[in-house]
Amino acid sequence: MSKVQCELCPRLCVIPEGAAGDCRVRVNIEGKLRATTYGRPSAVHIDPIEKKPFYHFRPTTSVFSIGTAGCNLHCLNCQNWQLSQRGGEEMEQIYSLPPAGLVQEALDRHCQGLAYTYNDPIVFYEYVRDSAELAKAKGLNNVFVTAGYINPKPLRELCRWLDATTLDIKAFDDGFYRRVCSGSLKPVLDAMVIFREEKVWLEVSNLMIPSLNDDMALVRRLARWMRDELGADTPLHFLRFVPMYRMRSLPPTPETSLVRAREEARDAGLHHVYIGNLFGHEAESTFCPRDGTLLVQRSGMRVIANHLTADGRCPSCQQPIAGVWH
Amino acid sequence: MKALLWRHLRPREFRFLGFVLANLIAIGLFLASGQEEMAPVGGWRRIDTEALARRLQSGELQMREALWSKPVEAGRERPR
Repeated sequence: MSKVQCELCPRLCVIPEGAAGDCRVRVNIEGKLRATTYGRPSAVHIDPIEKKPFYHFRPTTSVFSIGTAGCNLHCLNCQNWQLSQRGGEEMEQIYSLPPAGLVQEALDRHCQGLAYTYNDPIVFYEYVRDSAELAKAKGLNNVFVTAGYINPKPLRELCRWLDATTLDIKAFDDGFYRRVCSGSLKPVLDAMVIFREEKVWLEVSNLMIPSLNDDMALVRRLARWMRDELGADTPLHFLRFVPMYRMRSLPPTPETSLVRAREEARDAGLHHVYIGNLFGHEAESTFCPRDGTLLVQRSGMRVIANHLTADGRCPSCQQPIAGVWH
Repeated sequence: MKALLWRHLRPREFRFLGFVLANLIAIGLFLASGQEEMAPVGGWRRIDTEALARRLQSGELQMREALWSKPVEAGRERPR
């Protein structure tokens, strides 16, 4: 029986023949590791880029979004557990969309980019890599929505093809990762630094779960770490938790916690801190960090008005606003 | 001062100190064992191989060779 070791993520699964890695979709078949969901997404949608969330990367564009079965984290609060916590052979719906077909679909539907999202695209790495290469050649953007639980080498290799990433940090607490996600914090922090070093536009999100990771001390530590390691202009999105999967007994995040977290992160020095999943809140919009001018007004993940200058500056004080605006 | 304190401790107090120390050691060992259990491990999962074979055969799933893998020697796998 030939075993293989998957070196894609920090789990480093050693997989006997006929079994899958912890992610359920990288399978040892006859002594070779196979990516069984390659070109076989189970979720396909066209989304506004704001939904990922990206607030500083080509606003108002549409992205052709795909996700497959499987994930290398097992968060008890997962919002897409029907996809992420199942193997490919368990899925009701599987689409045939190899890289060339995927890129053509995106072009036919007038999308400006591809989004690898829904489950963690790390587990369909090869599909992302091949699609992203083709997409780039056709002038499409590649955006990656991830939890960042990946080893440095494969990540650096993939960054060559990526334009932007939203990284969801579960909590600035290793214990939380171990208890709730069956992962660990350090590889995620390393991934954020690598995205920054490789010049992939980075936005960070944090789903605030009442009583589990809504401690303001954690928020302050995250914000200070981001300020020091990623830069004060890195956008941070605090997302409202909605009871889901194995955490249905907890209430949704109260607005007051999200507002307080935003204040703490701004006090720590971050320039762009948003609140997500709380439609209509003013913290969905972008303001100038220097003079407070409303720059991009949003509601429900849609852009209502964009007052930025053509070269991405505040129209009042001419402060350049970090982002990829066109 | 330390010597004075030591001289005035009675056997009963020594026993109590021993009891406290034993408790602290027990708590420490318990916490350490919990940490070990919670650590993410590189395991593997049994899957429905018949369903997988069926879906591979029908073309719903793929046999694309994965990147970032290497063969390993026997006896290192850990099931989840």
